[in-house]
Amino acid sequence: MTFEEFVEARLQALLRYAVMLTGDPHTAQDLVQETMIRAQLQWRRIAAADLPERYVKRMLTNVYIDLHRGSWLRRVVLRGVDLDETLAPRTVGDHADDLADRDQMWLWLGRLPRQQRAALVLRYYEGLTDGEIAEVLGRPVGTVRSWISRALSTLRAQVSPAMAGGDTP
Amino acid sequence: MDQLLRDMFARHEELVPAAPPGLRAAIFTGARRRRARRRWAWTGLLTGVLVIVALLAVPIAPLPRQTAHRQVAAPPAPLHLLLVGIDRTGEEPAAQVRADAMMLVHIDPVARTAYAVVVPRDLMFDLPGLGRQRADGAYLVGGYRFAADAMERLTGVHLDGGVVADIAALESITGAAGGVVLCVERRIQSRRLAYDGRGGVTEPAYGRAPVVYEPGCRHYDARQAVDYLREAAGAGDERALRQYLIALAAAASDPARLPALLAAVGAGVELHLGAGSLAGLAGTLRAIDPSRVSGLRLPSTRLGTGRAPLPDGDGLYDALRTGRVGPWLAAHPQYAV
Repeated sequence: MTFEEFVEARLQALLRYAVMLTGDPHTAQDLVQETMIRAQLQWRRIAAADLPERYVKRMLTNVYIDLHRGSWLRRVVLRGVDLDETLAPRTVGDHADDLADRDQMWLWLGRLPRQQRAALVLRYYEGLTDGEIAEVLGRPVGTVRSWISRALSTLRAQVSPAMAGGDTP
Repeated sequence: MDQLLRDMFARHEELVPAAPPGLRAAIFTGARRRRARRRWAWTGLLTGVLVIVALLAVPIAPLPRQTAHRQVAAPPAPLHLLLVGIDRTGEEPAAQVRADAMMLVHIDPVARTAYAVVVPRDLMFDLPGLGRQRADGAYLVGGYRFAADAMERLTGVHLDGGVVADIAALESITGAAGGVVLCVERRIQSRRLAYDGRGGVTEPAYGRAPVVYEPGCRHYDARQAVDYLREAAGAGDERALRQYLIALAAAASDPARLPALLAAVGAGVELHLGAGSLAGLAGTLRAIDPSRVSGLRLPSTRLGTGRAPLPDGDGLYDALRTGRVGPWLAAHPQYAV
């Protein structure tokens, strides 16, 4: 598969995944752009992998998790804008439409540590098994399971009172 | 909870914008720009290879006595060398890879300076029987001789010799030197090497931590040393290259190391030198400080998807032939790299 064919076939899917990760279409586009530039530069190696898409997804996840280290985002996208402010959950609502604004779960998800959020997206949106998630995140399965269970218990703690109050279906 | 999460993600699919055409364009131009940056890094490495070859070349080829005498008598004329860098790691035969970087080095033996004229990879050459071809394609089609002929026809400069080198050659030379001690000033994370978990390094892949070069002086093996040089050169750090050359020169002065070093240079670097000029060349190169080599671009204009050379090189070709590149560069600072 050439890189051009890969872009044609998978760009939209990667963009969807990036939106689920970042919670924000604009950051997602920057994330996809940065990842795909890197992917093109090492396309020969990626094309030789069993699952090129999985490989690229892993690169994208790593770029996303590296956000807080300020490497590419600070340099490429933000140019001096405060990183935490831009990525803070409340800002998610600014960019998102009304639907997302009302969706409490989406906001809670945005407050999770990035690795935990990535694990949840991979399991519940991409439908991967724990083994596959471990591969994408480059961590042992045990670590991934503990991230997921910690993330779920954080969310549960917030969902229960909210559901009792009748805010969320 | 599982279902809640699945539903929530499904609900937010409508947040996903259709991939705008601008995104595709940004991906392709972004990659092009980064490739160009890498090629600039190559020029530094190529200069390094040339100096290494110069340090080691003398004992390789026996020197015809008569030629040497004539050279001593002759007034020192500028020397021209063609350097071709290949970004292969050793598996493919040299004839099947494109040239990643090409430059014409102009050496002024009197002023003890050198100028590296970088040839853009997409420069269109007129090749006999083939019409217009990209510079890197010329190497692919006809090897060093073909590329050298094309350069001579274009510039009217006589090439005294040439060097073709690749990453594998640099690695084997460094290996023969027993690795080198390098002093890292800023932390750099490698994009090409990762720890294999057994105390060694290998290609990056799932679950492997990338190699990190931490500040401080330590001994590096061949693979890591060359990888660090490429990263450092990419970051515009030329000190690293100089350190590396000094370390190699020290290894070359060790009689126990020398035979292995010579074998590595002989096996990995393709030398194209006119008969008898080798010793003189090596002597000339030794006098030149690699950090004082100036880089400049071959004057060219956009032409379709490639670049066309300016007819007289905006005066550069003349300056090369008459040995007045310094004044020419001062008058045409827009071509400085």
